[in-house]
Amino acid sequence: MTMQPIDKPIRNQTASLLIALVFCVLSLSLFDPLLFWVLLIALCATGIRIVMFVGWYQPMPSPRTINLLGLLCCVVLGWFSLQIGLLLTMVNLLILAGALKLIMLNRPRDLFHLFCTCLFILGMGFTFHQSVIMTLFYGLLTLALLVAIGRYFVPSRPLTWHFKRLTVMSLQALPITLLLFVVLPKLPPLWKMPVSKNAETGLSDRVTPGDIANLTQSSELAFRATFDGALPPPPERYWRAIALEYFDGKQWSVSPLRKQARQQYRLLKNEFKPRVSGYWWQYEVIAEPTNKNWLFGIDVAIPADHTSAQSIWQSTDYTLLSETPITTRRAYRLRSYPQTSMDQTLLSLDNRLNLQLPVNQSINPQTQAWALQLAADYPTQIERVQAVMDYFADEGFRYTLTPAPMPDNPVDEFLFNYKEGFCSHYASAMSYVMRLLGIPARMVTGYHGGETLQPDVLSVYQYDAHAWVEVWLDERGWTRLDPSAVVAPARIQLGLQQAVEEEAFLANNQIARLQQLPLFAELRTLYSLLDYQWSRWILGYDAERQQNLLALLLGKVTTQRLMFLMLGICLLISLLLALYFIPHWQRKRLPANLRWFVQATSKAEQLTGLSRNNEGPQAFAERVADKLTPQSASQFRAISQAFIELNYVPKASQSEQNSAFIRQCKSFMKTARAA
Amino acid sequence: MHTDLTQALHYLEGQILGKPHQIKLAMTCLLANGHLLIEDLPGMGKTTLSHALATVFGLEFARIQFTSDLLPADMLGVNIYNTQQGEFEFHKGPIFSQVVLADEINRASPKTQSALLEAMEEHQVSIDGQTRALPQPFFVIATQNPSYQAGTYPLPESQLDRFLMRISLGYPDNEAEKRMLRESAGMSSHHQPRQAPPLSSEQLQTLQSQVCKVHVSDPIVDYLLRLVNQSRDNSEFPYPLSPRASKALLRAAQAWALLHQRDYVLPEDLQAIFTAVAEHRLRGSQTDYRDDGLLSQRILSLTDPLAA
Repeated sequence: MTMQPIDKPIRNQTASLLIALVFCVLSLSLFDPLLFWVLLIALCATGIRIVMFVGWYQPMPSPRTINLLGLLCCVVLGWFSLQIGLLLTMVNLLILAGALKLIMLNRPRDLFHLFCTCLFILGMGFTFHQSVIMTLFYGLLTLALLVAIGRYFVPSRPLTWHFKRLTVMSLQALPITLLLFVVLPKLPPLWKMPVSKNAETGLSDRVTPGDIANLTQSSELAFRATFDGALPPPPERYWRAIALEYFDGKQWSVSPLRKQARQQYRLLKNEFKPRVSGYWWQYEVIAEPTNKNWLFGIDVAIPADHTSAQSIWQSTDYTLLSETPITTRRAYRLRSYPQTSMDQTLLSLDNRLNLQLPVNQSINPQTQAWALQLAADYPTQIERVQAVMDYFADEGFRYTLTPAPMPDNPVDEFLFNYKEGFCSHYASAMSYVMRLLGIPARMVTGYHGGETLQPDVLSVYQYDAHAWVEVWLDERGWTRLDPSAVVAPARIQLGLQQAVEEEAFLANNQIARLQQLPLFAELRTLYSLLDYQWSRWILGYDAERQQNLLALLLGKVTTQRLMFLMLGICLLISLLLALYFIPHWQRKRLPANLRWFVQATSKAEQLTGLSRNNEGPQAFAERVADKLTPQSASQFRAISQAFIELNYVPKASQSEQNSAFIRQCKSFMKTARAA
Repeated sequence: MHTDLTQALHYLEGQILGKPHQIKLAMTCLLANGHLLIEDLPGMGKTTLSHALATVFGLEFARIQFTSDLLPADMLGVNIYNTQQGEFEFHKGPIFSQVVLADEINRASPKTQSALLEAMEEHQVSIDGQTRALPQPFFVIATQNPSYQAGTYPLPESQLDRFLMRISLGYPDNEAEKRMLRESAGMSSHHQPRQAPPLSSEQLQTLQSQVCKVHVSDPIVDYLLRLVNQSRDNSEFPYPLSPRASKALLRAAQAWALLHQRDYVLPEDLQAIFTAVAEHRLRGSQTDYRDDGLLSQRILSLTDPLAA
């Protein structure tokens, strides 16, 4: 006889249906990284299971069919793997394997395999989703999986019974999980997240005026910043991300020369270290994944601590670059010196890059003519800049999220014809004109503003995306100019929402419209707060925070103290476990007479070498008596008889007998020990 | 105190040689007022046992041989029009007896099986809208051939549950068979003439009422519940035991204790009757009855009577 459950068809068990549904939901939750056809196979597998469970069609596909399907899938996946990279291939392979296993789920072993696979997929899901909601969701899925497997082992209990039981057990496990989370060493990841093209969000390194307008339709979070002190005043909240220096007449992009220069600097390990002065704000940024390298900071920003310094590369265009693409939420600390003038770099390269004009000189002829005129009228840099700004202010320009399309000669159309546009239109036109006037200029994109989540925390959303201009003035260095601010001062003072109120902010985003409702707005704030704490304390809990926490706990981190801490933790965990088990044991604690009798029987077992094997007291006493010495045998018989009388025979009072019985047991043990 | 019981057992052991345990179980079943299912190959002494059980308490005995064309009316009885008196007259079927031997019950059609099982459960039969009570005591011994034999309709689980016990006699050992052969050939030196039935049906009813008075202590009830829950919480057992089964276990254990001259139940009593009472319920309609790998033994081996 084995402990293995009886092999019986699994297809009609609720457990198999439940596990199929969990698998299906799990696959759907991984929507993005999965190939379409893999998802389709997973859905089909679930469908097959449901059909089998309901009983519309019972026969299983033959293993040969499944093997053939598996082989085909592998070949196709192999072909796709060239495009999607190793990790995504493996993810897809796992889902495929799970789906095929689900189709041929027929024996208990298959069920266990699928159970383990699902657990692994769950773990894998966290590489793609880390928000609070998803964590809760995956927690629920884990619970459902456990219920499924529990249901398989104890099919006679209703699902609610399993659910309750497993919930209680999971809650009991929670403190231990937390403790382990806090103390287990944080290892670096074993693999790199792939950078997929379509997963990019947020800013792009190529901007055609109008692009950012699309971005403003998105209410996704871009990053959060937690300030050590007060927040900077709203007009100062220019979050620099990318400096775009190459203009082809229509589109701005990061100059290829700049990229080359950056690579050379990196090879030489010649990082740009701006000299900073004046007051500063210190803050931590938690950036949402963008799959890109750039980071956000208020000018002039430098890394505030060692860890941040290690992972950030400061480029000569005052942008901050991450060493690796931001594929998961990333936290880094910065210090910004708003008073520092950016006059430390105008290398010949910078000069050349920022005076570059489109190769095709026939584009935007009107603007070029206008620039010639301006150059003639205004001799100094300052005057020229002022003249252009005045032009924006006086000529009836309008700030709008829905400008007319300007496919040919975009700058001409914008400046002289439509006179309406979004920040990137203004920035693009202004930079171009500045360059025509011989002033080095570039377009900078990033975010402006942010929503105050807590007195010291700013949430910056995608709709805060902004573009502005930087020009090189000989006496001041790089100077920020924001033509949008001249046209629509509210944009800078109050934020985009107020600036374009009449235009139905986030018009295409149905969910965002709900924000007009006060209740929804409150919920949203609440969720933002929760999400912020989550990313700050759970996702942001890295090796350094751990170190800090340990230092806080131990004073000084020495091996000895660390050992004591670990020992303490182990003790604490065993204490927690004991808290759970002790009531259990206490309930199981036998009544005194039974306890003594069990001891006496085990003594008799020891003496005779017989095993009781769940026999009753009388049968065992008779069996064991022949092998004991006559004295012990009669004693043991007497004990058994007394036990039977205590437990099974109707009696009025038992307490006296009880103690007599225990004395009997003790004397038996004594003689047995003597023998 | 129960000399009559000892006598009865002694009488039965004289009738069926070498099967003391099965005789005790059958007797227990009778005392517990339950019905007995005997599953065995032809010629193993099923009929002899049931006949002996009937005679030992001086009960009326009837035998119904089940075949595939047996109709419920053949068993229950029919109303026949009496032309002389101009009215219907009821002709009792063989079921109106105190002990009914339903031979080869699984050869009959499900319809007839149900009719019998209904009578067993209700202790009455309805014919043409008229309800007629069955005699007291009413005891059905059904025999069935192992289901692998041709032409059988296995009893469904719900009906198996109506039988308090299922036992199987099995081949007698050499010694017993030798004695049996000697007796049947009239060669036995100490051949006793058949004794008169030692007991009466009133005595049986007294004994049956005594069964209910056998003391069941808390530890015994707990042990029983542990046994039953083991079948419910473990996927090894495809058909968990029902509350009806736990009632049957308790009643049978009480009867077994009484049979052993005790007025209280021991764990040993439960263990002794457990396989007979539980095995057919645990196994459902898979009736292949083998001695190895009994599910009930598995439950016993997993549950310790000396626990709380």
